[in-house]
Amino acid sequence: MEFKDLTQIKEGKTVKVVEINGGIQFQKKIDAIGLRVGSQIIKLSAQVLNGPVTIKIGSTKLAIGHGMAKKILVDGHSA
Amino acid sequence: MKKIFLIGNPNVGKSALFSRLTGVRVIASNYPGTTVEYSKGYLRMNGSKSEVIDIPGTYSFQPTSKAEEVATSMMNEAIKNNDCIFVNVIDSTNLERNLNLTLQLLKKKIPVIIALNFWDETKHVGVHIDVEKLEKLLNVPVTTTSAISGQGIKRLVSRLKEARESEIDFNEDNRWVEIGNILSETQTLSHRHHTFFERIEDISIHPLAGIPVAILILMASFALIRFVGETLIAYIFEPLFEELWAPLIMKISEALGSSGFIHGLLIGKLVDGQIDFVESLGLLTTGLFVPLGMVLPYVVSFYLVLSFLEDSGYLPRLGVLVDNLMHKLGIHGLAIIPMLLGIGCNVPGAMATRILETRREKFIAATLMAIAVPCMAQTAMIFGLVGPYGAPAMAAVFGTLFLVWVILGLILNRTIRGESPEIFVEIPPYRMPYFNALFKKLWMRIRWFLKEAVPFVLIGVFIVNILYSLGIIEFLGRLTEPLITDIMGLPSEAVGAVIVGFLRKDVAVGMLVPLGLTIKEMIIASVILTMYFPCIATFTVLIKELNTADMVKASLIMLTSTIIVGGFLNLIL
Repeated sequence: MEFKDLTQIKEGKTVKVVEINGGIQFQKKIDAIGLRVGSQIIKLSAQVLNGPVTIKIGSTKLAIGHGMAKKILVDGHSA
Repeated sequence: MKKIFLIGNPNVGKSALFSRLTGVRVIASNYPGTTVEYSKGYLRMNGSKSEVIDIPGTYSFQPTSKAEEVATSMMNEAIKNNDCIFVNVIDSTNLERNLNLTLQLLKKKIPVIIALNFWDETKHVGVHIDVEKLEKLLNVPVTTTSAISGQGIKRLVSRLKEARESEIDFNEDNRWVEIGNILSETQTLSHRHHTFFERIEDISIHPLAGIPVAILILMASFALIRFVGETLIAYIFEPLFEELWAPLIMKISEALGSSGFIHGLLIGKLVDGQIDFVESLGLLTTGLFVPLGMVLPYVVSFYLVLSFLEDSGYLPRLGVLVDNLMHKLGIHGLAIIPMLLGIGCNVPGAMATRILETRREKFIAATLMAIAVPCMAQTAMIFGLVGPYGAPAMAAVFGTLFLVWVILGLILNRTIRGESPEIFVEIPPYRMPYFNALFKKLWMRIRWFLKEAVPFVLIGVFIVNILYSLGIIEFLGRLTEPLITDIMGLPSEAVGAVIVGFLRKDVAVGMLVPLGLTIKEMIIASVILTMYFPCIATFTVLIKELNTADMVKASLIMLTSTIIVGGFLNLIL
C-alpha cells in the first residue's frame, strides 16, 4: 500500500487518513475537530506556492497550513 | 436564579443566541472567533433575573489557543462555584463534530441543556435529526433553535429549568466511537443537489479563480463604500450643514460680535467673513462637521459593506487566499480580519488581533495595523482633501502605506525571534446575511462611533484653540522644525496637526487645510499622520492587548519608520 501526505494528492479526491504525525498540540487540535486515523476526508483545494490546503471532514470545512497537511498521511488508493 | 453559561464550538451562533436571550447587543459574525472575550448580560423571566455569560467558542477542553483557554478556565471556575447551568449550543448541520464537545461537557456532571441551533438550515442541507431520541441518548434536554431568526428561543427559555446532569456513560478513549453510535441512531442524511452557495464556495477558494474573485469582491466593496458615502454626503449631510446649520451658526456668530475668545472657541475664525466648516476650527463648526458631516457617512457605508462580508462567511476564505503573502510578513491569513476591521477603526482592529495565537503574531499584526492602516475617519478626510487632486495623488498616499505595510512586515518577520504558527481555521458555510441582524450590528457600530469619536473630536478642537492662543503650537513648531521641515519638507505649522493627531486623526488632517499645502506636502502629511502614532484610543487598547514593553517597541518602530518614509517621500516626490 502506498501512503501519501495530504499535499501530494489531487484536489477533489476522497481519501482515508492512515497516520497523523506532529506534536501533541497539533494532534489535540485536529482530534477536537474530528479528524483522526480512519476518517474519510475530501481534499477541496490547495493554494499555490505551498499555501494552505482546504479539506472537508463530515460537514466541516477546514483550512490548514501546508506544513500541517504534510503531517497527515492518507491512503492514496482509496476512492 | 443560577448563572447561565453559553458554551459550544466556534461559529455555532452563541453570540446571536446571547443577544436573543439578554437583549444585550454583541457583535456576531459568520467566522470563528468573533467573541474573543466573554460577554455578560441578564435574562429576565417571570420577574427573576439571571446572569447569562457567552463564552468564546472552543472545540475541546484541552485548550490549544487563547480563546479556548479562556473558555476552559471560565467553565472550570463556574463548576467550582456550583451555581450554574450550561446551555450547550450546537450547530445542527454539523452534529458529529459538535457532539465531541458535548460529550466532554456531559462527563463533567454539571447541569446541561442543549440548543440545536441553525435548525432552520438542516432541511436545506438534508440533515434529519431525531431530537427526542437524541435527548434520550444524551440524557439531557435537547431543544431546537434558530437564533438569527429567533425561532425556538421561547421554548429554550422555558426549558432552562429542566437542565440536568447527564448519566451518560462511556469510556473516554472511545469518545469518537460513542459519537458514531449516537449519530447512527439519531441522524439521517438525504442526498441533495449542490446549492448555489456551494458552487460559489468552490470558486472562492480555488487557487487560480479565487484570486480574481477576491479582487473583484474587494473592488466592488470599495466602490460601494465610496458610492454610499458620497451619496449620503451629497443628499443628506451637506444640505443639512450648509442649508440648516450654517445660517444658524452665522446668526450666533453675529450675536457674539464676530470675534473674541468665546467666538473663537465656539465658531472659530471666519474665512472671508463666512464660516468654513473645515478651516474655522470652532467647536460648533469644525468640531461637529468633521465627525458628522465628513466622517460619519463613510463610517456608515464602510460598516454596511463590512458587516455584509462578515455575515456572508467570505472573510475566512479571503484569509486562506492571502495566507501565503501574509506568511511572508510573519502573520497568517486570518490576520486579514484585524486589518479589515482596522480600516473602519483601529480600536476594534486592535482588539481583533486576539484571534491570533502567539505574542509574536499579535505584535506584528498590531504594529502593522497601527502604522499602515488608516482608519475610516482619516481616510474620509484624505478623500475629501487629496481626492480633488485626482487618482495619482490618492494612489501615492495609499500605495505608500501599502508598501510600508509589506516592507515593514518582511523586516519584522526576519528580525523578531520565533516562528508564527500556520493557519488553522474552520471555513463556515456561506450564509445569506439576515438583514435585521445586519442592521442591528451596523447601528451598534455607528452608535459606538458617535459615542467614542464625537467627544474626542470636540476635545481635540478645544485643545487646539487653547494651544494656539497660548502660542504653544508656534513654539513646538520651531522646536521640531529640523524634523518636520528639514527632513519631511512640511511647513513648521504642520506640527499642530501632528499634536492633534494623537487625539483624532480626522481633525488632524482637517488642520492641514488652512496651511495651503502643495500637493506634494499634502501627500507627505497624509502619510505621516497615519504612521507616526495611533490615536490615543487605539494606543490605550494596544497597551492592554500587547503589553507595555511591546508597546514601547512598537512606538519606536512607528517613529523611526515615519521619519524614514517622510524623508524618502520628500526626496523622491
